[in-house]
Amino acid sequence: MALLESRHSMGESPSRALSDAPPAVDDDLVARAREGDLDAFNQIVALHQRLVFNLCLRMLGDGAAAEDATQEAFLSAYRNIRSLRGDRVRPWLLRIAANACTDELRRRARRPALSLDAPLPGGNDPPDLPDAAAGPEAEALRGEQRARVQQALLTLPHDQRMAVVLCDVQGLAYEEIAEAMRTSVGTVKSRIARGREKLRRELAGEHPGERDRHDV
Amino acid sequence: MRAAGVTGVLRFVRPRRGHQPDVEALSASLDGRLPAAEAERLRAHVAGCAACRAQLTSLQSARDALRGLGEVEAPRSFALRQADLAAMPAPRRWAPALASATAVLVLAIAGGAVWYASRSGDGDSQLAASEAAPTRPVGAIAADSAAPSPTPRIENGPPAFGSVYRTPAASSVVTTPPSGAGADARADDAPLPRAPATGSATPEAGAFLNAGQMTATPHQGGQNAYSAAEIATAKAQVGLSGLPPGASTTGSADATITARLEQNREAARHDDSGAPWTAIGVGLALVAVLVAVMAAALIRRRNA
Repeated sequence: MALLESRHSMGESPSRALSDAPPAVDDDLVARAREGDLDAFNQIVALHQRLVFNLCLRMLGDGAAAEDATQEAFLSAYRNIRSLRGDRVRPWLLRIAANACTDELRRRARRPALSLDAPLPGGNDPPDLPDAAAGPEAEALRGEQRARVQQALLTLPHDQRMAVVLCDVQGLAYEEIAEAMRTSVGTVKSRIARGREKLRRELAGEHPGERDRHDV
Repeated sequence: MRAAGVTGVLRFVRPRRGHQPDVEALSASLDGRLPAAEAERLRAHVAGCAACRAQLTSLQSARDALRGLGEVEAPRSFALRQADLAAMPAPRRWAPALASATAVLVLAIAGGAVWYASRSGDGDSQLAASEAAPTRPVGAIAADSAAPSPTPRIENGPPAFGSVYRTPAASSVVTTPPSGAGADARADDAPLPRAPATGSATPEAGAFLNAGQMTATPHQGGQNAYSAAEIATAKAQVGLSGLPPGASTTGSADATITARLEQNREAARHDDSGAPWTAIGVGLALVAVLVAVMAAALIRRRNA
């Protein structure tokens, strides 16, 4: 019963959404960016780089690779600026970022020397979520837990990984995830459910981690 | 509580124990993505179903673990510099350019093929006319043209006929007796008054019709069989003036016309290649359209 009591949010809108307030991108900014105005485009970059970088970081599990993918995504976005429509900046950018991540994963699959099991760089620690009450030991424990979760995340199929990252890590609504992934809300719902389920099994050690590690 | 819950949620009531929990619904309920009534029923069911409760707990733990990852700040600015743009080749620019160039090239080839096919057809309109006319063996021609036709052919013959028989030379022949040595043999057979517009009364025609080797093999698979139109065309091409009016060299006149007929046949065979050229042209045009469509789709997808 206690479990049920604790879930007051059932039937309500998601209570937590880190990126949920879409940055204000006015049409004028988009219009200028579409004309090739680099300053206008860089304003859009500044508004979205955290979102894009975090998606890349969780998709790739590697800070340096995530930086490359993020830069690649914005370059690609600039080159394809004409495919951007006014109020749809965020899903558009997320889609491009996901493509950049896919490219990066393919590159890495061709170069197996760069192992996915490599320890995550320091850029992985969220400096914006300080655990004030915790001492250094608790903080280390949390870091360890995050590394485990990240490793488990990398075992998910690409589409499930993207869905749970956008939903649970970045707090996007199903609708926006669906748009970013170019699929239906129903499919997003299913991917999130299966992703969470698989992640939970992975964390519980029910599946050997190697089983479908490269399932992209 | 338990009884009420079970009766309230028909979709979760399974007679057997340990039913498969609806992972999707449980997961969506964590995000508040179930309609209020359904969320209420699910909550009531989960209260009484250990399997669903365990499933919900594990989904929730996964979600919480993911939330624990949290978002990090971007390690640096990803603003683009002019140098970045200059260093990057713009793949989106060459892709459509290449596709367009390919499409234009293929279309040009296709257009050229069609033009070539139509041009060779126009240039030999007389050949086209001769092909349209029914092919008959030479023997038939001899009989037909030697015998006077009740109506002048000029009226219903193909254009090639008209161009031949409308000439003053042909009509003047009617009044002046043929002087060709080979000609009068046949011209004598034909009653003069009724020979007017047929043109077979011309010395050349008479000479040709006298050619023994031509009439000897009338039905050899159409190889040596020439239609009246063909013969007429050949004669026109050789030119009535090409032979001296009184020339007795029947053999050489026949040879000239025969050669011309062979020549025309050969040209007609080449002209047949117009059909495949047209087909190739249309095919290439379709390929061009296909390339353009595929390129457009590819670009659109990449731009996504």
